[in-house]
Amino acid sequence: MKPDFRKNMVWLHTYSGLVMGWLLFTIFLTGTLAYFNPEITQWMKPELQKVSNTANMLDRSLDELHARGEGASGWSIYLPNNRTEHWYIQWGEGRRNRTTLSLGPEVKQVIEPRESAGGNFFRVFHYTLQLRGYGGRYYSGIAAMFMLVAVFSGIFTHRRFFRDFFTLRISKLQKALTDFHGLIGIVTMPFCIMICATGIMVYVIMYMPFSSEHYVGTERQLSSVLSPGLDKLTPKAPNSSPIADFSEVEKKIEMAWGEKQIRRVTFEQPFTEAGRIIVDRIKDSTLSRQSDRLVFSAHTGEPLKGYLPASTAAEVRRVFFGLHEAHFADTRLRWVLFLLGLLSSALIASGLTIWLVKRLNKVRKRHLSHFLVERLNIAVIAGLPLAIMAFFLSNRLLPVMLENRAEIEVQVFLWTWLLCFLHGFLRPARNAWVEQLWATALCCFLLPMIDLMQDSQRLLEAFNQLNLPYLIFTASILIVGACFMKTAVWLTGKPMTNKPYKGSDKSSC
Amino acid sequence: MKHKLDVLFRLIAAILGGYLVSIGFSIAFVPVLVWLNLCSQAEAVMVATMLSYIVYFTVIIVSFCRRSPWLLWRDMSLSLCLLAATYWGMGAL
Amino acid sequence: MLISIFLQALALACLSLAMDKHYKAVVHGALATRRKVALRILGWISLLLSFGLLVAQQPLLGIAVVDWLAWLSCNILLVALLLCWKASRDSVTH
Repeated sequence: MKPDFRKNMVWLHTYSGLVMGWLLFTIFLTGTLAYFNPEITQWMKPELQKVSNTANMLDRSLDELHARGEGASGWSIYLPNNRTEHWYIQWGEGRRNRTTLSLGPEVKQVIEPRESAGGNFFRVFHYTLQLRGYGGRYYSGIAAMFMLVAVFSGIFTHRRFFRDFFTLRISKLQKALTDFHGLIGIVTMPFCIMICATGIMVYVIMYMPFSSEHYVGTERQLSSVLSPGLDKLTPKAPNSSPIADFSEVEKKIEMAWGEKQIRRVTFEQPFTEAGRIIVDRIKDSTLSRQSDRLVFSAHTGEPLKGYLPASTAAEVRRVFFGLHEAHFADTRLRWVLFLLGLLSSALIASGLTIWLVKRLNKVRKRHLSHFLVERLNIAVIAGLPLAIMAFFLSNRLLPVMLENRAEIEVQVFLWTWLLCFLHGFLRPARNAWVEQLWATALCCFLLPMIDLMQDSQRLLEAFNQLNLPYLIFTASILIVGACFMKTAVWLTGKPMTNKPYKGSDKSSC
Repeated sequence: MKHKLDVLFRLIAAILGGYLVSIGFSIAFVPVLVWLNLCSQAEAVMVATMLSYIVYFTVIIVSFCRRSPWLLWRDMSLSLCLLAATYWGMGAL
Repeated sequence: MLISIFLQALALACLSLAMDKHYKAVVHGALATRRKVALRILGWISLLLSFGLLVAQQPLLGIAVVDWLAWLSCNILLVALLLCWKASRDSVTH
C-alpha cells in the first residue's frame, strides 16, 4: 500500500502541476507584483507629487468638495499615506457616476495625473485574468485548488528533502534543478498554502453557493446578515449642509486612533439631515481586511452609532482576506512577502521545466505533448515578463492625452503576450528562449533611459524629495534586466535537450 | 494507474464527486452546528462552506489513494448517503 | 527587529549543524553527542528567543506571527544555500 500511495502522489503532483502550471505561474507573478500596487501606480503616474506632508489636508479637501460637489449624493476623500502620494477627492451619484480630482501640495493646486491602469492592473489581472465576465474568477479558484493539491502531493514526491534537511546536489543540472525545486518548495510551502487557501476564501461563497442559497439567500444577503451595515439612507431633497470645518471631528478621531490614521472619509447624503460621515482607518494595524470605522453626523459632526461588530465567521473570513492582501505589512515585511511570491513563481517555473527536461532526456522520438509543453513554457515563463515590461513601456511611450489610455496599456500587454506565444511556436526552442529573455532585458534597460530622456527633471526631483517608490522601482527594473541578461547569456552557451532526434541526450542537462 | 480509463474514473471522482460531497457537507453540516448551539444559522452557513473546501481537498487526495475505483465510488456514495441521512435526520428533529 | 532575524538565522544554522551530515560537510569531523545536544538546545532557545523578541516589538500578535514565519522561510533558504555553497567549495578544493 505504501509505495503505491507514493506512486499515486507523484503522479498527482506531476499532472496537477502540469495542467495548471502556466496559469499558476501567471497568477503568482502578477499577484506578487500586486503587493506593490500603490508603489507601481506611483511610478506609472509620475505627475503625482509628494503631498503626504501637506497641512490641513482634510479641510482643503472639504473646501474643494463644497466648491465643486454641491448637491451630490456622495463625497469621498482619499488621503495619501506612507505607501501612496495620491490624494484625491470624488463626488457624484452612486458608486459609478463619480468625478475624481487629484490635489497637489499648494493651496488650490489641482494635479492631473495621466490616465493609466497602474499597479491595480496586476491586482485585477491576477484573479480575473481579464475575463471577469467569462468566469475568470472561477479559473483562478480552480488553479488555487490545484496548487494546494500539488503542494500536498509534492511533500511525498520530494520527501528525500525532508529526510536530509535540504542538501542540494549541484553536480548534475537536472538534479540541481530538482533539488532547487524541492528546496524552494519547502521554503515557500507555508506561503503557498496561505496564499491559495486565503485566495479561495475570498470567493468562498461564490465558488460554493449552494448552502447559502439553501438557507439564507445570495452571497450579498448572507454577508449583510453576518456583518450588518448601517441603516440605509433614503435619498431626499437637499435640506441641510455638511460641515465645512473638519477640525472638531478630526480631534475626536485622533482621540480614538491617534495621528495620521485616516485612510478615507466618505460622506453619505451630505445634503440631507440624516447624512453621515464614515471615516476608515488605515490598514497598518490589523490583519483583517476591514479596518476600524467611525461614523459622524454630516452636518453637526457629532458621533453617531457606528457599525455593529461582525460575527465571528465573517471576521475570520476578513482576516483570511486581509492575509491575502497583506495591507498590514510594513515595507520590510512587504519585501519579504514579495520575495516569497517571486520564489513561488520560480517554484512553478522550475517544476514545468523539470517535467520537460526529464522526458526529453529519456525519449528518442518527441511527442506532440513535449512540443506543446516546451513552447508554452517559453511563452509563459519568458513571455509574461516581456509582456509586463511592454505594459510599463507603453505607460511611458503612449501619448499622455490619449483617449482610453488605461485600456490601451492593457491591450499592449495582451498583444505582446500573444506575440510571445507566436514567436515561441515559430522559432527553434532555444532561440525563442534566448530572444525573449534578451528582449525583456532590453526593455528593462530601455525603460529608465526613456524615462530620463522624456523628463530628466523627474529623476532629480525624485532624488531631492527622496521619492523612494520611484527610485526603488527604477533600480529594481535595472536589476531585473541584469538578471534576464545573465540568464540569456547562460542559456546561449548551455547544451540543451531541445535538439530533437539526436543521440547525445546524456551529455545535455 | 496504468490504464487511462482508471485515471479518468479517478479524475471524475475527484473533481465532480469531490464537489458533490463538499456541497452535501456544506448543506448537511449547517443543522448540526445549529443543533449544537455553536452559532446562528447564517454563521453556520459560512463555517460549513469554509470547511467544505477541506472536505473537497480530502476527497481529491483520497480518490487518488484508493486501490480500486469501485472501492472509491462505494466510499463516495456511502458518504453522500451519510450526509443525506444527517440532513433529513436533523430536519426531523 | 534585526536582532531577532539574526537570531533566527543562527538558530537554523545551529539546528542544521546538529545533524551529522551537515556537520561533517562543514567541520570535516565526527559530531560528538554532547556537542550535538548543545547545538540543538542552543538552536531551539534562540528560535524561541527570536519569536519572543518579535512579539515584544509588534503590538499585534497576528502580524508578529506572519512576520516571523515569513522570515523563517527566507532564513531556511539562506542557511540551505550557505550549506550548499560550503559543500560545493569543498568538493572543488578536494
